[in-house]
Order: sequence, then structure tokens, then C-alpha cells
Amino acid sequence: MFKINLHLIEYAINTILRSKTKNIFITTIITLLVFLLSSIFLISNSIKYELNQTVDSLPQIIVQNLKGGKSYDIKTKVANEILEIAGVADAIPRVWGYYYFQKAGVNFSLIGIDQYEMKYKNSLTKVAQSFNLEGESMVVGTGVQKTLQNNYYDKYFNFIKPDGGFKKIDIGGVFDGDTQLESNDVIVMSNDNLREILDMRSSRATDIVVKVNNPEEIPMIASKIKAKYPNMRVVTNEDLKISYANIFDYKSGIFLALSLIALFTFFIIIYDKASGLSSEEKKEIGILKSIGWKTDDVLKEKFIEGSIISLFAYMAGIILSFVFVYIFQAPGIRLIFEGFSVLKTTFELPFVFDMQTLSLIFFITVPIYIAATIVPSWRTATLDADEVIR
Amino acid sequence: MIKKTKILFLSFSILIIALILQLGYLFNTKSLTNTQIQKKQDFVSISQMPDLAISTTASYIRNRSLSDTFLIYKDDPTLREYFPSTFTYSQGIK
Amino acid sequence: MIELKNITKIYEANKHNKVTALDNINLKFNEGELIVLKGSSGSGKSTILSLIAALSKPTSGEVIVDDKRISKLPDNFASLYRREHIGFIFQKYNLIPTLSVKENILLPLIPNNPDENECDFKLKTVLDKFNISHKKDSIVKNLSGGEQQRVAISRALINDPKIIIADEPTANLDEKLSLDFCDILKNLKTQNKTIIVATHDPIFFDLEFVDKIIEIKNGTII
Repeated sequence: MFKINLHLIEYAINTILRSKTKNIFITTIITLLVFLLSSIFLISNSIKYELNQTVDSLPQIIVQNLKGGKSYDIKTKVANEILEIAGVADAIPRVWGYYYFQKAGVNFSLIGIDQYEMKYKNSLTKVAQSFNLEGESMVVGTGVQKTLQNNYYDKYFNFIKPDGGFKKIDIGGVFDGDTQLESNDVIVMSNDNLREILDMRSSRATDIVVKVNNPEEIPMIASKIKAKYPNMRVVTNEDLKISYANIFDYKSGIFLALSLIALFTFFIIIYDKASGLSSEEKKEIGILKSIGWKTDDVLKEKFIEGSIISLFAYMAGIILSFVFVYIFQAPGIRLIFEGFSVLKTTFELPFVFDMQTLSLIFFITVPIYIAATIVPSWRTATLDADEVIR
Repeated sequence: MIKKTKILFLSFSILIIALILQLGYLFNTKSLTNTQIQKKQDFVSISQMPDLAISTTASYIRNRSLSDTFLIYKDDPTLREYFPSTFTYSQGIK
Repeated sequence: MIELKNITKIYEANKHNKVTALDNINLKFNEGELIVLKGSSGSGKSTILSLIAALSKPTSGEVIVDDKRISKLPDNFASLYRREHIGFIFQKYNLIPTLSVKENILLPLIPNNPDENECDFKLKTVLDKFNISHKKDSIVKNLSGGEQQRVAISRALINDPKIIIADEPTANLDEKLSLDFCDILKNLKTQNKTIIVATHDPIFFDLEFVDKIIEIKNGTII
């Protein structure tokens, strides 16, 4: 039966404690590396998770008009033409855009809905804190409300129209705080009001959202639309899903580059360990061999040594990163993901447990360090003991 | 004789327990509840807009999936476009 | 019984720099004998000890201990053989200086994974025998030469080996401590251990309990 050799573990611990400073340094570096890598993966996993919760509520197909690479208004009659394609259940022209509130230096996303649609009334009740879309009113995200209040707009807001005039719209409701990540900068109002603010004729729309009867036909219908309107961009919900899966890849890359210092130090440690033992360490192995330790015993001891340091550092790094990301909400690192944004959300990163991420980080730290500890010892332990102790 | 080994096992046990307790706590308090998820889904079915409001200043990041083709060039005119179109990855519409 | 048959050992520093440590020597030792290998530095006596302890392999010839050919043993078996049958007292003691007396002495036992009681019993036996109980928690590098030697002897004997090998044991000791060491040898001989001592210290040549004195010069027996 396999019995754990506690004496061997004790010896390994003593060996580690003999070079206390060096080993504390190594453990700290590995902990730091695990902490940084794990934090960044946790943040990006949380954001991806957040996105994936709502991706199925998004439009199946979005059709946009492009002119010279810039998106342009689309004629609403295109919606009727798209409706004629077999398999299309609905094609709705959509009005949305951005509004730059210069005084606060903040960008709002404006979305138009048809205020008389029952389904919107019902949905809005569920997600807005108060609700009064009668007359010229809008429902705003919490970030918008705060910004407006800071600029003395408590009950209404004056939008500056493209012709220089003003459009006053009352604040009819505020979106629930739980939807902050999605709604923070959003203003929802009627299509008519929005058209006025964006100076868009009723025969035009920002884009067209298409619903299909059979979701499996989405790619086929998308290609039909593309064939019919080759200048237009057609985005399907699958495209969005793939886009979400790749989200923050380049930002993660930036951060990983910052982690380069820790990575670099880690690999220098590995190189230093793997390139050979000091004469003291070699002599010690020679002594152990000469008093009856087998090569296996020596390697077992080195394995235990490497495992203790790397496993301890790994666990400490993981625990610290969970605390940092989910309890302290990743101060500092978050800024990299948020990017430059005047209108900040106070969103909480949702907890996501991803075994794959933790395993990946485990495999790039622990076995490499253990191998770097064992390999040079193996080289020495397989020599004649006599040669080593002379 | 094996005092330090016992301390080591104790330390690792504490770490493992700390990790498990931490995960349990986070799962119970920081996960998205079904109500929250439902609210988000309801909101998105109204707004029909993709992407999160994390970064709102640059429009090509706010609704990155729907932004103009060349907006990324705003950052630096020498930047080469390295995403196909904008930030959506086409499934291959022919 | 220990037998060396036609043993030749050549150390090759490089192709042009060969040193013949032993040249076709033949030796036989019986169980329970105390043998002294006499010779100056570089005569080859340490090499003989290494070969008997399976610390190195001969270039040609065979080393047979209790009818087993140990010169061709694979590495792990050679280590096991040393652990079970050999107690080696090195010239420079080869203790681990940063470990305590207790930890050094118990080193040979560790791979066997003994239980606590067995460890404590064996440790107490050797500590009392060689009078270093009072220093058991001291770090070895802080001990005197004589004390270190007693630790080295304790370590060599912790597994109760049949064969005890000592390489220049009195090289770093004064006269009194050297005589103390001779007493220890006398005591061990009464336990029917086979003892081989390599030395050029004349103190050993007049001891009445020595069974054989073999003189080695330039790798051959005189």
C-alpha cells in the first residue's frame, strides 16, 4: 500500500527553509504571476458571462447601410423588401444613435421604441423603477440620471437638435440598478422624439432588425439579404456571440504584457534552476547517495520541494485574485478593461467559476517549476556518488 | 520529528478550506441571481442593443459590434485594421 | 566476505590525462576482520574503499561481497546495498552543515519511511553510545572536529551495517581523540563487524586488535 513518507517531506521542508530568502522570493514571484494571470482571466470571464446572459435576447439579424465604411441611414422601405424574403417573420426599422452632452463631456446612447407597443410597456414595467411614458418623456439609465442631476436637470432634459433648437423631454423613469451594465448610458424614448433629435426623416432609420421564423435559417437568410443589398452590412446574432467570445482579447493582451515582468522573472528563475545546481547542492546530493539514498529518493525529495513551493504559491495567488476581483472589484486593473470612459458604471463583476482558466494557470506554473527543480537534480543524482563528493 | 510536516499539512488544509469557503461565499453573494438575469434579458429585448455600457466614450467600443468600419483609425491613422470589418467576426456570409 | 578480483580503476580526466588509481589488485577480507589499508596520499586506498562501498565502478575486474557481485550493480541497487550493508565514515565527514546532529544521523533512515518509535530508539542508541546526546539539537557546523566525527560515526552506524568503512578517520583529530576513535573501533570489532580503515596514521599500525595491515603503493599491493 502506498504510504506517504513524512520524513521525506520533513527533509524537503528543512531544505526549503535552509535557503529561506531565496525561496520566499521565488514563492512571491510565482504567487504574483498566478495572481495577475488569474485576475485578468476572472475579469474577462465575468464580462463575457455578463454578455452571454443577454445575447439570446438580441436581434437575430441586423442590417446596416454603409457608405464609405461609415454607417448611414437606411431607407425604411428596405424593411418591406426584406419582409418579402421567404422565412423572414418580421423586419423592423430601428432608430438609435449617440448624443454627446458637451457640458458634462459624456456620451449617451439613445434608443427609440414605438411607445404604443404593448410589449414594451410590459417589459419596461419590469426593468424601470418608475414608469410614465405619456407625453414627451424618456426612460434613462442610472448613469444618465446622475449626470443630468449633476448638471441640474432633475426632471427633464433639453436636447440640442442638429438645427440648433432645443427639444425638451421629461424623465419618465429610470432603469433598474440591476441592469446598470447594459443600461447605464442608455436613454429610451419614442421613435418620433428621437427622430427629431437625430434629425432623421420618417422614411429613414438607423438600421433594420430582422426576425426569422426558423432560427436555423438565420445564416441563409442573412446571405440572401447580403446578396440583395451588397453594400449593406449584415450582422447575425452568431457573429455577436463569436465577437463576445473574443472580447477583450486585445485588452487582455495589453495587460498580459504588463504581467510580462512577473512572467520574465518567473522564467529567469526557471532557467537558473534548470541550468544546474550550485556546488553545495551537488555535494548534498552526493552525500545522500553515498549514505544510501537511491536516485529515486533524491528525486522524490526534489519533487516534494518543488511541489510545496509551487502549490502554495498557486493557491495563495488564486485566493488573492478572487478576493481582489470579486470583493474589492479589481481596482486599477478594471480601468484597463473599462477604457477611457467619462460615464462610469459602478457595476459589480458577477462571480463565475471557470475550471478551465484555473487549470490553465495551474499547468503553466506548477509543473514547469517542479520540472525545473527535478531536472538538474536528476542529472547530478545519476552520476557516480564518488565523483560528486570528491 | 515531523513537526514541520504537520504544520505544512495544516497550512495547506487551511488554504484549501479558505478557498472552498471563499468560493461558496462568492457563489452565494456575487453570482447573478435569476431575477437579475431576467431583468437584463428584459432590458436587452427592449433596447435590442448589444455590448455593455462599460466604456461609453468611444462609440466604436460602446457598441463595438455595430460600429463604423474605420472608426478605429481615429486612434492612429497608421493603425492597420486587424479585425475583419469592425469587431464582429463574420460567420462567413457569402 | 569481501573479495576484490583483478581490480583496475583508471580515472580519465580527459583523453590525454589518465590516472591509474588501482592496477590489477586482488584482495580478500573475512567477516569480522579489522583491516588497515596503509599507504600515502594518492596510493589508491580511498579508491578501494569506494569500490567496496559501490560508490564507483571498477574499470575492470569484480568486487564480490557475500557472494554478490556489487561492481555491476545498477545505481538504485547500489544505493540500497550501501543503505543496508555499509557504514561509511568519510575523511571530511560529509555531514550536511546546516542540519542538526539529530537530522544528520537520521538521514540514512529517511528513505525507509520508519515509524517514529523506531527512529527514536535507534537515535537514542547511537547518541548514548557515542556520547553526543547533549548536542543532538545543535547545528553541525557549530561543533568541534571531534564532535563532528562522532556524528559521522553515529550516522554510519544508525542502520547497524555489517561493513564499516573509514577513510582517514584521524586526519583532523588530535592524539587524544584519535585514541578515542581506536577505542570505538575496538568496541565495534567485538560486535563482529567487518571494519576497513584506510589511513597513513601510524597509530593504527600497532593496535593488537588489527587483523591485517595491507600496504598499497601506486595502485598496487606491496
